[in-house]
Amino acid sequence: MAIASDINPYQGALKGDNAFAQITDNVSRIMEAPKPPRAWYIAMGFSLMLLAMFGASLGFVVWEGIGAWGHIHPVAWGFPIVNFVFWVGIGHAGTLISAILFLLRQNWRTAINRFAEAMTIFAVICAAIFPGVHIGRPWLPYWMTPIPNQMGMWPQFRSPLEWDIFAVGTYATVSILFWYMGMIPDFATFRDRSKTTVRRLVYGLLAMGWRGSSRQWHRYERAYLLLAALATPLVLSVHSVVSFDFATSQLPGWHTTIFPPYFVAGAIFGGFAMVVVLAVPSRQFFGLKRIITMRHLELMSKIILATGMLVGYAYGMEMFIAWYSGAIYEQFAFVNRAFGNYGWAYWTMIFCNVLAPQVFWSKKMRTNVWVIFFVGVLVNVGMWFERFVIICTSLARDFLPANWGYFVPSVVDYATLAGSFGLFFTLFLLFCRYIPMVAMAEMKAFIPEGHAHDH
Amino acid sequence: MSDTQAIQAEAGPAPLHGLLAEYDNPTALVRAAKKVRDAGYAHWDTFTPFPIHGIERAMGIRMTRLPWLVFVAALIGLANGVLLQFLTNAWDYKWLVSGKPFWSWPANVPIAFEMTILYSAFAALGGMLIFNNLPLPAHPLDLKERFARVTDDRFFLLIEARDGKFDEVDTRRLLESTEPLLLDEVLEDRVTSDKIPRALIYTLIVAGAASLVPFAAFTAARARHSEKPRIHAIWDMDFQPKFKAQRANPLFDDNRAMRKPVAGTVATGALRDDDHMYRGRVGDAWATTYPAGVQVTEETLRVGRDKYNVFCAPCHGFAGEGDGMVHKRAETLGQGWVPPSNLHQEYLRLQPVGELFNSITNGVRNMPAYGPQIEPDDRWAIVMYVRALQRSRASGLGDLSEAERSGLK
Amino acid sequence: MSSMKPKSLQDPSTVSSGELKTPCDAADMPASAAADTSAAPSHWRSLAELDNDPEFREFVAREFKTPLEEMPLSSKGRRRFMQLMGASFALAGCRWKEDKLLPFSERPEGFVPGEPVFYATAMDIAGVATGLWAKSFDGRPIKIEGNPNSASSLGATNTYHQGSILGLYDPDRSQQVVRRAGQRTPSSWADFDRAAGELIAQARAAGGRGVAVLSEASSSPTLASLRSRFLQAMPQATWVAYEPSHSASAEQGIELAFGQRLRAVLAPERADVLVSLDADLLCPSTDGGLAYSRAIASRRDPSGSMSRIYAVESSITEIGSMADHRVALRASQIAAVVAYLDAELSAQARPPAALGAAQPRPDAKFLEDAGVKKVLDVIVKDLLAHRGSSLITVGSRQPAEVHAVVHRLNTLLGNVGKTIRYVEEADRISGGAADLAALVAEIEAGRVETLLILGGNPVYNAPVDVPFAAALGKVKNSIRLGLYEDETSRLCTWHVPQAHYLEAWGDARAFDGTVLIAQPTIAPLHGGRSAIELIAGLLGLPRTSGQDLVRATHDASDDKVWRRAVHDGTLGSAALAVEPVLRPIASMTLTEAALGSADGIDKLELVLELDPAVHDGRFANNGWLQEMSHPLTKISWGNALMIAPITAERLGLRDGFLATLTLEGRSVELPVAFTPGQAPGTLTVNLGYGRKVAGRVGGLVDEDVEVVGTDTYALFTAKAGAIAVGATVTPLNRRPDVLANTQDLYAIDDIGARGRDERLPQLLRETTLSDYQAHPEVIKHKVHHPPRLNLWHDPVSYDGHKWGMAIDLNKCTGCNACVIACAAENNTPVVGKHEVARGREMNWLRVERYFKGDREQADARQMPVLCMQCENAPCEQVCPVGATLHSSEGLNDMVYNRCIGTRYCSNNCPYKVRRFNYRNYNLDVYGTTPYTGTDDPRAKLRSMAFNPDVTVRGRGVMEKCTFCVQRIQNVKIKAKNARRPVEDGEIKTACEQACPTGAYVFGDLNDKKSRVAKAHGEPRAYELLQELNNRTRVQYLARISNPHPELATEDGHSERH
Repeated sequence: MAIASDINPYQGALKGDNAFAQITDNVSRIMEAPKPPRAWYIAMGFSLMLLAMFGASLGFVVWEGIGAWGHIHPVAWGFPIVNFVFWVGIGHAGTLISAILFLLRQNWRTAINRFAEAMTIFAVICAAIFPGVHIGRPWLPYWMTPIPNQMGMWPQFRSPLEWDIFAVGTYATVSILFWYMGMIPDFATFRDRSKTTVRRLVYGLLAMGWRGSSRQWHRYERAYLLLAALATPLVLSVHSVVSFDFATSQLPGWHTTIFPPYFVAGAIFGGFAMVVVLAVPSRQFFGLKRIITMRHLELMSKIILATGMLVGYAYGMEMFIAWYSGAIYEQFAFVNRAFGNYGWAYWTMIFCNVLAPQVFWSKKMRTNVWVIFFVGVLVNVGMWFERFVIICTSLARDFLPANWGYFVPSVVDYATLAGSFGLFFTLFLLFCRYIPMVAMAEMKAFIPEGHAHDH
Repeated sequence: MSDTQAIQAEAGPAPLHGLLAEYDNPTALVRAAKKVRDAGYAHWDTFTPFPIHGIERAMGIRMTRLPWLVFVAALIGLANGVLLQFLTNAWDYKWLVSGKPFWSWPANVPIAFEMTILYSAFAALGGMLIFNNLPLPAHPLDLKERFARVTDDRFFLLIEARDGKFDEVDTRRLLESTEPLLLDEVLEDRVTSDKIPRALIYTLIVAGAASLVPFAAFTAARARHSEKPRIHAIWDMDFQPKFKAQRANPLFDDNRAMRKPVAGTVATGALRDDDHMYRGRVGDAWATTYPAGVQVTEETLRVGRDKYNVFCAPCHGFAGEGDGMVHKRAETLGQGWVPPSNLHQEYLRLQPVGELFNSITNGVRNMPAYGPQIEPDDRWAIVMYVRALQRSRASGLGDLSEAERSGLK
Repeated sequence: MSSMKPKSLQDPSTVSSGELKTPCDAADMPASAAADTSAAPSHWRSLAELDNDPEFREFVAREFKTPLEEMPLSSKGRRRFMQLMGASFALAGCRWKEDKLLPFSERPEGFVPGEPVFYATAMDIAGVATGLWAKSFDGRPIKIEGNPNSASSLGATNTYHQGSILGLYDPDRSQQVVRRAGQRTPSSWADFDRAAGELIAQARAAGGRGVAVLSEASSSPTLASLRSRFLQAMPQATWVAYEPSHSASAEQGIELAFGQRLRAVLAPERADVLVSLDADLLCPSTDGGLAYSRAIASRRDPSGSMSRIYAVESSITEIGSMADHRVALRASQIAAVVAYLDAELSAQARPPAALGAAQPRPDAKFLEDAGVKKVLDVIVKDLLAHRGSSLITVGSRQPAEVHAVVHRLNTLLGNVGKTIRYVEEADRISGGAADLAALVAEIEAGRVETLLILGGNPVYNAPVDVPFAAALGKVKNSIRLGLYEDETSRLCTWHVPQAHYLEAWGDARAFDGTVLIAQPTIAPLHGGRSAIELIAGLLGLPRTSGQDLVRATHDASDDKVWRRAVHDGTLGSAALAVEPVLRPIASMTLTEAALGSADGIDKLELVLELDPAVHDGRFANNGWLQEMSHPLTKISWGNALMIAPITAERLGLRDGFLATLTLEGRSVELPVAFTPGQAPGTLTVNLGYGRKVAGRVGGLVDEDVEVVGTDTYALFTAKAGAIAVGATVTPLNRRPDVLANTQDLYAIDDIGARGRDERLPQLLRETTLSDYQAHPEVIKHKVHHPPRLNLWHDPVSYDGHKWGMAIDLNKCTGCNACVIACAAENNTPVVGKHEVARGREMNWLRVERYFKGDREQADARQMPVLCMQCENAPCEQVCPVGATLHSSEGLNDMVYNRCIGTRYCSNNCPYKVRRFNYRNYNLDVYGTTPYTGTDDPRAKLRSMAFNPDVTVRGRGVMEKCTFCVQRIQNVKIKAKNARRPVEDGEIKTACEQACPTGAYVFGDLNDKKSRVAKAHGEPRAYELLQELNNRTRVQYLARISNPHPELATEDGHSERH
């Protein structure tokens, strides 16, 4: 333990004489500690490296043209859109946890909602980059926004891409509002505990002079409830809209009515997987075991199991509908998916998304951080492949056999994929260090001491 | 007590802001709150690290009107979303897409929905801040060091001095009866200046000025006239490598992309092997008649007049007397100038039409060739008009019919 | 590499008059232009240095880099990166570029700037001449069309003609006279004339001893007459012609049959039964191919009287893909087939004794194959049933006896004078391997001091067993007239630039003997001379201008007559028809290969063919043609070993892998292309690739420009000729670095194959004539779907024009003329081998090739696919910026400058006919780009081939077929000015105009009398993927075959209900 604590300043005993103070101390000391654990530096260095690669490869793409990517004639959408959908999907768990679980009065969420929301925002940032740079003339994406111009031209609102712009844009904005609003009281806590002027100033500005007046708390809670109520349909709509990109097209394998629910389920699935992947190490390194307990991890594992089954059901139903439709192109699209030359991708997906989570049936497994972490990683891989399978295999073999192709990613494809993780983790690590990682105020309200017994 | 004294020492006696009671658990606070509420105070509040359930009742706080604000915002968002799409795609710039009507609502649902959410979300956060009159930079309570624990683990109750029922003694007694950890006077803030710091003002001024620069630049650019071509950063497809008509191509010595046809070549349709029509010759003599393709009609004459007035009149004059503007100008300049011939001269009247046609086509003396500029049938029309002009001057009695002659008598 | 330098980079002294100059001097030039000229030299000099800079060369040749190498991480890539930056930033900062207008001070009569006119001309490829129309814009030829008044074209063109316009502006064309004494020294015409003058003077004195001329084949009467004058002047000189594609057997065959040199002119339109024995009448290198295509196609309309075509051939030819019955037999077995036919026909037809005895019935093994024999017997029956209205043709590579017997058969069937007629053979310049061998012998014997090589490229394409290159070294003075400074020129002491056919006066003889007059459409860009001008000059004739020479040949003293001939492009003087008398023909001696078994696994047979894209290699530096995919293998940028799958598997070969092909100890490596329908045991390989000194497109080893394809002349021997028996193939267990396949890019798995075969009957619909006549609805019933209801009312009624197209699958032969015509008309870029290999080719129009039937006897099917111009276009609604919209005439318009390149439209297009500019391809390949507007002179030269009416698209923009909207607009404007309606057939899309068979029909669907409206009304018209309810404006006319009742399969019936 001694060794542990000097590598990691957060493993020591908590200061503070009461439950409230201990929570405050447990969370704030991450920010107050002179320096974060070595693991943080290692992770940060690695992330920055990936981030640099991201920047470089995107710069090259803009300069060289998207010929640098692996796109081929039939497969005009490759990694960039796969990554986009993947990241947007990841971005769902956060708001879901904060909003839906909040409305469902799932109090355990308070331990994890803060960094789930952070994850959401960072994921959406990663996602938002791709559509912009994957287009042929990356200096013109603003043409997709309704800006009055001398050409008198407007966007074409029938295009699902146009819906994406609004859906993802709204989602990003609302998520940030939601996230920030939740943090106002905790910023106030940081403000009042800050020693240096700079921090006092910064956190002070962020806290906007919050002093915890009950009259303010009243409106605050009301507003939070409203935001949660608004975010809930939003979070469901976003991935539905993203799925419209495919569902409204004519392409066999895309043209599927099951997509909206199927994408949303998949998003929640992947999102939770990402949450556990982030939660397990951070509770370890930042000494949050007392706050993010095994119970939380177990509950999330259960959700992963449930949504995993949903997704599995969707895979099966796709196949069934294709067979039932009697349309030869439809049937071929799915047979080809599973047994064609992209079969390897399909079975990777099935293994990661449907089989892997099954271990969570056993209590032993879903209470073992290593298993949880590993399955989380697998599910993320699986969800990425799900998008790859949907986008690439459907395009590679559509109607006319003469222009069937086979998509082979280029170096740039891999670089941007890995690079986007660099961006994601960089942002996340900064968040862990400088922003209240757990909603302290909410936590306090939910511990027994937090209730007024006078009735 | 010490900090209050310190302030007084600096800034004279400050008026009392209110009385502050501190508790270490929500239960005590709620109990106290009820007491204060029952005592009928109006200007008082409690401060807690987290929302305490039941405190609203305990303090008698009324339900906020925030939801109504959000609802209105939602409606505005919805209307905005629908209008945006209708005005742009179905009204201002109609376009034909996939055989669909210009306005069909299903495609417009997602965006309308997203806009609704977006507007209401802003309303929710914004409304909360406004109703809570946040941001609030300073507050007398900030002077109390202990009060910093309000965001950590302490619970406070403040009764303000401005309250009508406030009375140093009674209020203090009331609060003491709630057994606070500590009871303290809060003085008005005399330390924190309510002036905005200079640095901030300057920064704002500078930033504001800077933000205007681009606009200034734009307006300037609009107002001024520049010799240089306009700035055009991304060329996209604007400068085509292809060579359009009469463009430059530095590869050729004359810098032209346009080439002269090779001598002796004949483009399809440009054979023109009808000598009468194209050269005004029949056999090896000048044609005295108009070619088959040219009808002697009023229409042709009208064409002839128009072409004459455009191409010939400047020198030969509208009446053909060789007194066109160019001629007059040349005379006034008084340089060596071969005057254009008067078309009414004898030899010209007697010239066969073929020869006139040839003169127009290839020019005579210092009159240039008009072949390349005037199509053959138009040249014939001009010849016809010239003949008419000549006739107008040189017609004698012989040209009149019997009836007309008698008419003259 | 100064020879590759454009004109302006050269020292002015070498500029001979006429080239890159015009009559008008700087005086009457606008000040601006004058300023530019004065500024020019320094500018070019700097570029000249750049041009010598290895980095620059690597920059212009960069298409051959893989994207990986282009990453700025690799050193090479980084350099290019910097150059590009420099290139784009150096250019006039970031300001709008000013454009200058430079009108003529005096305009020639009838010359209107920007208004295209056509000039009649003629192109002679290896002695095969076609009358053409060159479209001239501002005095520059920009497109080639067929001359509708010439029987040799009837308005159609082939791939070579279409490609030739790019050849004219090829920056790699030879641009100056070059002297090679030891090292290469730029020279001038003046020096050459002096030197050559002396040589000829000496030669004349010596009666021409030691002088030899080696020319490529030519049908030009003028060159022929000059040859005789040359030989008169120098009696002891020799004049030899060499053409790798030359086959003496056809001529000898006729002589055997009729005892005189004659020319057979066919009339397939009169033939109810056409038997094609290893022949391809439709092939672009067949003399009269275009005329025959039109003629045969005219008999393939099921509503008319349909002909029946039998094809017995070694590899699927264009006519084979059109045939009603096709038997795959090795080329050497044709002889036995002919003998069999003769035996059977003579036995049953009982010809007069004058015709002599028939061939004995051969006991060939393959005749034991019931299937083959049945077809042959049916052929006999059918021929007898159609005496006088049948036609048998045989491939030129077949031996003379075979030709003779075929003439006999046509005679005894009474076809002579009906479907085949004979005309006097004019004096043509032709020759083959034997002639070249003779010349080499002369040289070896030291009897040749001065060798004059007119065109051709013998050093590259001489038979491997004729050591021409070595011999050439022994010649003291060798003068080469060539379009390129190629392999041959590099071994000659003098190289003089040849004038492109579009730059020179000339004449030629069409397949039917009519004389064609070729006029130049632009002054020689690089001061080249034509062969006739060169010879005339050497002979010291008084008048050496091309026009005078041609005119003299046809003694057209009368100006009117001459101008008329020039205008029409022909003198109309047809060759004299003769009624030859058939002589008895001795019985053939059949080789064991001819009698061999059906699967020739024991004795593999190698057939060397001209390439449909690069011919014998002469078009190797032509990007359009290199990028054109082979009609059967669909491989572009290279050749492959075509082999029947069954044979290949027995040899352990794998599709797409390399194999070593060996013949008589010489071997080459080739990628293997499994080609169903190939005769078992036959290996077909195309010539014309592997050029090492072609240019920056076709390969240039000393500039590290990748060699394209494999040089198969290494297997081409004078001894064996085109058909060589006894080749061996050994598999290599590796793939080629790049295989630029435009279809089936990846070996297809079973799932894919099953899926393909399942949907094919719906996509490419066909049935038999009898079935179709009995049940016309059968075509529409090939696919069943719910009624196609629209969710909406149509927002517009297309009541103005309503453009549409019909494509007749009965007529498409897959010749690719439309593809190249489209590229020429619409400025579609060449993307290069590596990009094609990644499936990024940019052709708006592709011809899809499918195989039908089992693996032994498969047929090919060809199906052109272009934008269907759907009324409910799926591409339109998904574009977020409205870059693709519908016009009121129903065109699916693409707005290039609005496109931001999301590529969603391509994803949503069921036909995948949209093409995306993944790179700045024009920059990659030719250094020109709509983005940075480079001033590289090479680019300026190539850019002259761009169609001024069509935007040159840049990187990141989607593009697609527009139905040649520029042509539509031009005609509409013309009609509007003349206050008349647009007439049907007045608007021709590029593909329609080029098509030799008339498979495309474009027009206004609202005009009920229009051809297209009628075509759409036919019961065999169908929409591709009609069940998607895209309401396509392009409809296909199903393929209706006309099998002999005794051979009719159950094709088509299954689909009926």
